[in-house]
Amino acid sequence: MSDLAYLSIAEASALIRGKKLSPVEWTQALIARVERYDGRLNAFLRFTPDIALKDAQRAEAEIIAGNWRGPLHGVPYGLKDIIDYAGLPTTAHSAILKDNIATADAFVTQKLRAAGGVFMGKLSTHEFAIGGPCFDLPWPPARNPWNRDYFCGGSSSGAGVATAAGFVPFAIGTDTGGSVRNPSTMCGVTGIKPTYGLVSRRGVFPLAFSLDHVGPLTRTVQDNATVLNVLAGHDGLDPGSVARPGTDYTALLKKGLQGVRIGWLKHFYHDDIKADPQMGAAVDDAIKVMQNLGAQVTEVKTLPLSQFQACNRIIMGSESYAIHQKWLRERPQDYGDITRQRFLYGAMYSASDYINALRMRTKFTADFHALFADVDVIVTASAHDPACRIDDQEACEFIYSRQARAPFNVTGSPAIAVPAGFSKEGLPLGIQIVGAPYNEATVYRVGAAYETEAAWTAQHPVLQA
Amino acid sequence: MDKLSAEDALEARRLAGQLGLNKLSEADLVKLLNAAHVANTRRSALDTSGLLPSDEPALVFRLPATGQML
Repeated sequence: MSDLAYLSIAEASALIRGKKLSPVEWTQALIARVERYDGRLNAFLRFTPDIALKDAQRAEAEIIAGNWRGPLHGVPYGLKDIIDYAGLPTTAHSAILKDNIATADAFVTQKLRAAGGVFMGKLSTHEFAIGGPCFDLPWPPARNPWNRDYFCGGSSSGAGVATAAGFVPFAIGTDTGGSVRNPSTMCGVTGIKPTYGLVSRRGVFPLAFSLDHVGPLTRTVQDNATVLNVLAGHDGLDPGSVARPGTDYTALLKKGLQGVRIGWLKHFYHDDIKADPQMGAAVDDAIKVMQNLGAQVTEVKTLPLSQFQACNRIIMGSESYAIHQKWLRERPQDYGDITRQRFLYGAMYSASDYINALRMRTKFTADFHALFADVDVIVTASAHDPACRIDDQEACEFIYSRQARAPFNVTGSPAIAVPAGFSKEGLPLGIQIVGAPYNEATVYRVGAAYETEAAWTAQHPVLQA
Repeated sequence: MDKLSAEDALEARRLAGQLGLNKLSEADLVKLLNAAHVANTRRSALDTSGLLPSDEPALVFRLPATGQML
């Protein structure tokens, strides 16, 4: 049996179902690991070992009685602290909401509880999923498990850290301009932003209604598809939710890349914003690996990255300001400095700026999705840079906008970040694979084939107590 | 820009007042002017010159189909 801290969901689930792994013992091992190491990483904002043990005991009793619920039964997880878990505070890592007790579970929490998951706690986030890393909040920022002096990405920072550090095999994050994929790349794990509308946002504190997505972070592509199988589904109480026939997102995982048509979106990181050489080389190398596995690679072009980014930021700024305007007027000092700055951008956009960004969004989306007439997936960079030092505010601000993730919040496309090696400083590098709407299964297929060949996910950070 | 000139401070305070952001600190006024600059940059970056009057925004008002709940 692998180290309990780094068991994949697939491995653990088979063992649990076969009664060779006790969910209680697994949970106890992970609780001990969090208690030993998280004091230096701050992945958990609210650690809930008592709830975890009760969930694990319940799961174990059910499985022994022959009532196995599915692959997440008895599997520990964490939730970004903008996602409601009834009876616990949803703070958004902010003094503004420190006493905000959730009265009901979020849709995704309901799904995970119904699947028999073991809830380990609420995870750090950048304040309101936008401002970070901040050192002037009621809780410290999460830190990169590969080197705690470095930024772990965000805004689903705790989700990335907890998954990479072996505290949980999966965590749920949210993504409005890249906030699942950024910590995935910075921490060396796998995170997907599914198609807009595939996973309900009900019970998740909004950043920007039309750009917000909920998605899982895991250590393997297969595990990611397994969690999405549980999370996806129509929710009549989320106006953005889409009713779709059920899909098994694991169905194509072992199909390989023979004959798969890959569009190489090179200009995003070679020309529009030139990536750090190590990050750029990692993406280029990944393309070669895919080609060697039998994929047909052709270069594709779309609008410049700056167009998508401006569109994303104007929409995000406008929608988030509408949510935060009252608090910014009444209690601005209760926000962290970085958060307040970022929300103030939204005060500067006019109604016509917002509406024109939405009108351009229609065009950008049509233009981008037309590429899928000729390719099955598109591969590009996720982050343009490896992690910077967490105490270097200027560097954190610099890399904040140097990324190729926001375009796919604009287009609503499914997009996954997959590890693609390490920098010479030992920090993770990554790639991004993007699909046509609702074609997560093909995105996972390509991710799984690359992951198996490259084998980066076998490496784990060495933690210090 | 860490500190505002008297003229800029007056302008920033006027802008904050128009927005109802009367509780911003002096340091936040710097942020507000920075936000105006960043917003202008982003606005300029988005090329909307090709939009036609009939181009609709990505989100439009939509009623549910008959029989469905809102």
